[in-house]
Amino acid sequence: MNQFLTLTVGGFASGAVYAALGLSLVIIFRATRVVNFSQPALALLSTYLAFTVNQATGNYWLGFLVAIAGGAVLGALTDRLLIRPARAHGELGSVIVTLGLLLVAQAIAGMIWTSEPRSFGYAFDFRGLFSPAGVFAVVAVLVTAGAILLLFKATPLGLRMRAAAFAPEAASLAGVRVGLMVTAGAALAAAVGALAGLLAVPPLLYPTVLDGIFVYALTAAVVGGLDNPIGTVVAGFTVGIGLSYVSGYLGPELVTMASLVILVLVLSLRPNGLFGRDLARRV
Amino acid sequence: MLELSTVVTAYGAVRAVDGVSMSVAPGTLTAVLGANGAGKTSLLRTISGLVPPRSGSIRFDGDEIAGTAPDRVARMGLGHVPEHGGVITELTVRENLRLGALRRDRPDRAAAQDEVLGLFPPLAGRVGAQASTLSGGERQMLAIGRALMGRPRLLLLDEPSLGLAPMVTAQIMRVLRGLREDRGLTVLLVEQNARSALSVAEHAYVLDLGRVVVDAPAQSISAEALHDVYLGAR
Repeated sequence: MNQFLTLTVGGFASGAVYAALGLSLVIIFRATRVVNFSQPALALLSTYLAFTVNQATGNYWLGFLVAIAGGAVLGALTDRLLIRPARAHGELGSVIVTLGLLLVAQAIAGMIWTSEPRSFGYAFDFRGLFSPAGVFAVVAVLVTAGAILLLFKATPLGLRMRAAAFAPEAASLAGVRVGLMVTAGAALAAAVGALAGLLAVPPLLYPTVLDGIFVYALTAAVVGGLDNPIGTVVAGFTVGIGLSYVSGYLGPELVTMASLVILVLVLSLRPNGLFGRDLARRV
Repeated sequence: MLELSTVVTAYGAVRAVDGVSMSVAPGTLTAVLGANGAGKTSLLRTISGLVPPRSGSIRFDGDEIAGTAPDRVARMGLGHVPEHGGVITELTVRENLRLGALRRDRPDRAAAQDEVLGLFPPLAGRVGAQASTLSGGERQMLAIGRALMGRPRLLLLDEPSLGLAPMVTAQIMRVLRGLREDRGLTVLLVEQNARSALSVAEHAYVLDLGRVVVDAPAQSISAEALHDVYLGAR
């Protein structure tokens, strides 16, 4: 019983990270209708930014804020300079560019910060069943998800972003600057991805640290329905808890395989995810 | 209000709009008629900026707008209701309407919404409904309503009667006539349904293969002339 509780609580905290990175995938998918494989790369670079600021100032929260803001800027820049030109030539082109970005960003991180693991601290104490760091991760993700939902549902900016994503031509005829809204979506997605990176990386930071987490986050996004932020957050926590049980009861070596099994099963049985609407998958 | 001078729009080697010149006076309802493939939709898409013209000039209230981005053209006061309406089905009726008036302050937006719902009573009870649940006629009303929410000075309407029951078409035409007479709204109406368009228009242009073949007051266009154009006798 004690182990069950430990695994459940631990899975909940891991699930928060998967939910956050999954959320970033959903936001960018809603804006562009394409899965953006560069999200973990942007999250990685943002986290390295936080690491650099931490090292220089000793202030964790300053690094945290710089990472979130830096993530947004990186998201906007990569959309404007790299992904948008590729998008003009079709969806496959932009997917390949995002894959390329993932590899390039990891290489750049290795060149600047080396591939040696660096110590990266938690926001709060991570010890104990209900550790402050775990509680912070869950609360931060839930607050972020709530804020994003509010943004989309209750603000003019959110309405413009949704309209631009669902029907770019109709939105532009209503006066919406569609390109700007897509870039805003990319910035928002990368900022949320940066949050995921900051929560996922401790205690060690190295260029491939988010690779495995990206697989779990992608699983969460697909299970939740790529178009559904709430579904993805719920799926993120569910996948986190489920994989925690697999790790605890069956062995940690089976976690990645279990994640892929979930991914394949969901794609086979419900291609639009458990909470997704009927729409063509464009990956 | 709107002046087109030798506008050419082409898709590759095909000239969908081939040297069109026309003029729309303020406070009038002008119809553009023609058979399928005559270039009517391409003409409207060129005016609103969805398709850049290859050459020619488009002036809206004195400003050159040829090749201007559609969102900017919309913000200048030119509303375009595209073929099939362009309602965003993933949004609610209220959200679709709000989208048309996001540049306005809240009280003005509420007043505009009340006006639109007054013009289209079937929408009034459905403001919270998903737009995907609306009938074809209601969607067309919503599309026109969304354009009106932005209080445009010129409204471009592309085949508003397409696929609609005659009663719904008549209702939409009544609304258009009222908007022109009561509020002085200028309308450029593209229609295949010539009879219904000519019943509300003051002036009409008839297009054939991208060119203007008739430019005359609406009441002077005879059934024979239209018959010739639609059946290819010209």
